[in-house]
Amino acid sequence: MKKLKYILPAILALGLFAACSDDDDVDTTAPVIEIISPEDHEEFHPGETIHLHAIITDDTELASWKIDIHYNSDGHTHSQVITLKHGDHDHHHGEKEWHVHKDGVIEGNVKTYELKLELEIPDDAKHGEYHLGVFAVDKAGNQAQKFIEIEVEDDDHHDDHHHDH
Amino acid sequence: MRILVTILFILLSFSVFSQERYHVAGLVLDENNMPVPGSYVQTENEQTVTDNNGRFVFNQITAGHTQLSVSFMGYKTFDTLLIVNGHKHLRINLTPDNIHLSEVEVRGNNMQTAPGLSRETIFAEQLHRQFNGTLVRSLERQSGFNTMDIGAAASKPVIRGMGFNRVVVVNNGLKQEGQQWGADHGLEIDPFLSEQVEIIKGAASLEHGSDAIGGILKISNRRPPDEGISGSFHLLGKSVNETVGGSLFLQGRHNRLFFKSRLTLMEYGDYRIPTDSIVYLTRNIPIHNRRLKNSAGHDYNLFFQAGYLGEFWRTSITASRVWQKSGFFPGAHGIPDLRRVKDDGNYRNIELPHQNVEHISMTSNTTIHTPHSTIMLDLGVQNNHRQEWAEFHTHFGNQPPPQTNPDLELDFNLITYSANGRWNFRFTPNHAITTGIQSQWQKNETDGYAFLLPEYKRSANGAFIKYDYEPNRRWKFNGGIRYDLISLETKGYFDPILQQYMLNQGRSAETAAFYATRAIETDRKFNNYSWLVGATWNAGQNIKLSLNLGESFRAPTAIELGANGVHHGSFRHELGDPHLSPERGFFADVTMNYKTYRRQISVSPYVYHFSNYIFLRPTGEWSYLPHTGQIFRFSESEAVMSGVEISYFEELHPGWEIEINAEWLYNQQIAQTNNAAYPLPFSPPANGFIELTRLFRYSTNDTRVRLSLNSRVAASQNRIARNEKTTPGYILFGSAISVPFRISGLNSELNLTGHNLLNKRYYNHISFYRNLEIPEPGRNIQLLLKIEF
Repeated sequence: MKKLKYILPAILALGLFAACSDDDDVDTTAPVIEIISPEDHEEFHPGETIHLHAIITDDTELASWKIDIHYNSDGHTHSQVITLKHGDHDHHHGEKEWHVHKDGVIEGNVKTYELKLELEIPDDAKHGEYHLGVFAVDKAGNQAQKFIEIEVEDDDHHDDHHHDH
Repeated sequence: MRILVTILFILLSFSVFSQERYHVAGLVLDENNMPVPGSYVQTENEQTVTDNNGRFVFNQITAGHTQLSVSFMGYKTFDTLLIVNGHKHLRINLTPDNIHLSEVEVRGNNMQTAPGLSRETIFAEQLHRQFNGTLVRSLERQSGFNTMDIGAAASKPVIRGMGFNRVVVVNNGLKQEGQQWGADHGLEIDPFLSEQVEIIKGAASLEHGSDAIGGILKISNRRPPDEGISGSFHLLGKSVNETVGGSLFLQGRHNRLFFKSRLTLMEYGDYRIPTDSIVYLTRNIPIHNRRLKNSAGHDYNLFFQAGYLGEFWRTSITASRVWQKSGFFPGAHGIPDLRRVKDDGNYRNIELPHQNVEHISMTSNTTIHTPHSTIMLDLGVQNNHRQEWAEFHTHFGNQPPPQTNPDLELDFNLITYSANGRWNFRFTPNHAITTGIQSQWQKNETDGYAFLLPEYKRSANGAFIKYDYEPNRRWKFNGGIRYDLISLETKGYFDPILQQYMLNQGRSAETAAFYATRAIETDRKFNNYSWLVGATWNAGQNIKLSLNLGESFRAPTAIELGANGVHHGSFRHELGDPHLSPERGFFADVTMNYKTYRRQISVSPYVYHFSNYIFLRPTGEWSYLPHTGQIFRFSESEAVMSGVEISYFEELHPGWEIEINAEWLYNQQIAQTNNAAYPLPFSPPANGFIELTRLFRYSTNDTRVRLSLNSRVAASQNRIARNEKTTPGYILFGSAISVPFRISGLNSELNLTGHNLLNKRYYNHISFYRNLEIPEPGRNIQLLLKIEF
């Protein structure tokens, strides 16, 4: 019994001690990303330039950013299966899925960062829907991301292989 | 008078002090030859209570005649005149006293004769009354127990805030595989099946192998039926997803042979959530008609057991198959896309993406009882086969769809062989020793156009020894140690398509090779020990205190060691570390029990210390994989965890009952150079459950009508790990009506239950869908009809 008498308060005290210990270094607030341009669902043409402008803010300190532009192959009703069936078709146009990955370090003890990038769409970019994602992490590793969709339109010839339109 | 008799006996025993003494050991069994723990055994000058295996020992019986009586509530008292002329080994069969048998059974089994960990036992009758879709959800009201839900039809257990591989599920003596794998992988158990479920809290690794750092969920279906054929039928209807289901149970016994069988069928539609839109990857996704598209599914489960009851032994063979097909919400599978969440006018179809989950198991259990020993041998083989189907898609333009099954995204096929042997030997009334060995061997194969889990081979072998010492009726002590040898071999996986993709993106050959190594080849051996010591003190008539200290470990999994790639759904690039060490946790807990006939209060504070808790650490390094943020690496960190569980039950007034369960827990990592004192991920917030029940008889019928109102409360969770979301608190209301009645002479019961009556939109912080901002299911009115025959 004597032992229990001491161990029980010790366990409770330990729990309380843990509960009261210092949380100062702990940062779980993720940065906030605002994409000023382009607008969601904005349309572009091959050869044009996307003026990306995003404002990234954090409550403590920003660490780095990344952008990712990717062809939305999922969105199309039959994705690759159809693409394969129409394989010749695609090759005929000589189009390529456009993909961009860029990242950078945010130097200094900064809470707000303006990300401005000029992104040129290649002439042979496959037309269709693309996802544009902006990512940011703060010094603690809290990550934020923001996605918009952009369209790369083929203005020369609106042909038949846009199944969804 | 009694005092006088006792004094007389004491005097008598003094007078015969010099005579010869013998030892009398006995085994108390019920009408089914099942041991009766907690029965009261009395000789003329000694008394004791049978242990968990129904055994008692008297070491100092004087030669001559002695009156021996064994009594247990619900059974006729056994009386005999014993002629002691040598060491005696007895086998005593109690005969049921037919009145109120079922009620007493529960009480009898509830008696904890062995000291030990904080535990709660729930029986079939109660489980059926609290039925809530899955077994794990039906247990949700227990303090210290939480559910990690994956929609409305799958959930996994969380004990003391620990889930996945830190909780072990033991089904009929053997560790069940499955739920501890992916975040979207539920526990594969027929929700109608279990006869008895025990939740053991605390590092209980001794008998069931490493990994049980958080606790054990122990399920058993081993009670032999009564003579003749009997059974029951359940009919289920749920409003939240228009479930229609039924479960037929048939059992029979002829003398020593018995069988049990169950068939469960459930079909359900898309479930309702109280919201019009969700936010997934920063996009607003509409929820048409407030129903989560493609969350429909069906469960088809089979169970069969055949057994034989010997004089001193019993054996059974159990086969079961759990099969579930259920859809995934297409709006949160892969990249958000509004076109795929449009209402298709059908709430019961299962389209792509969906999963097929199958668990087949075959188990043999044998138990031998003697007045001194209990020997158990469990053998089993089980197969987990889980497939995820989704329309072929790839992030790498150069990947062609597979020739066969082009839409099979992931396939996980695990086979596990297990063998357990245990021997418990009680040599005196005060000392018992238990020793055992466990062996498990498993092999996993994978398939599909996506890659998640490496193929691996794993073997785990362990042995333990445990000692129980009971110097008197007030004190009990126990201590044990276990040693495990685990070997894990994971196969590497190199993806040439991804390598080419990376090269096409202009990455260096080195980078391309790193990314293309989707699984790192590893060959690891983990040898480690666990220990547990405990003391229980019956401080008074009604108060019991126990203290446990122990240390347990968990070997890292194939994913933690070897993964390298995006875990779909979470969109995280997860990177394993082949050099992780086994996770070690030290724990201490105290349980205080106060129990009178009308009132039960239990309080258990606990504390854990992990020398190296394994978690996913954000690295701040960007992944080059498309649509992915930073790389998360499996890392180790020192961590502490503590909490307290409180449960309270009282019969306030004849016919009025109240139940309150509450839990508070706290955890954090210990700050290190590269890691601050962050809270651990997947921590349930402080939560509680309160239920008020009115019981009454509407006629001369023996069983009572139950009318309950309950409420579940959770505090907001603001202590989060990095890249988790804070979750607001909530208050939910529920109700239950249970009406017993008879249909053409058959005992029947109607249970009408309401969950989330106010249709509150809330999030379960630890659910799979929390991160996708999908709220928990809305209001559910459930009807469960039981007919016994």
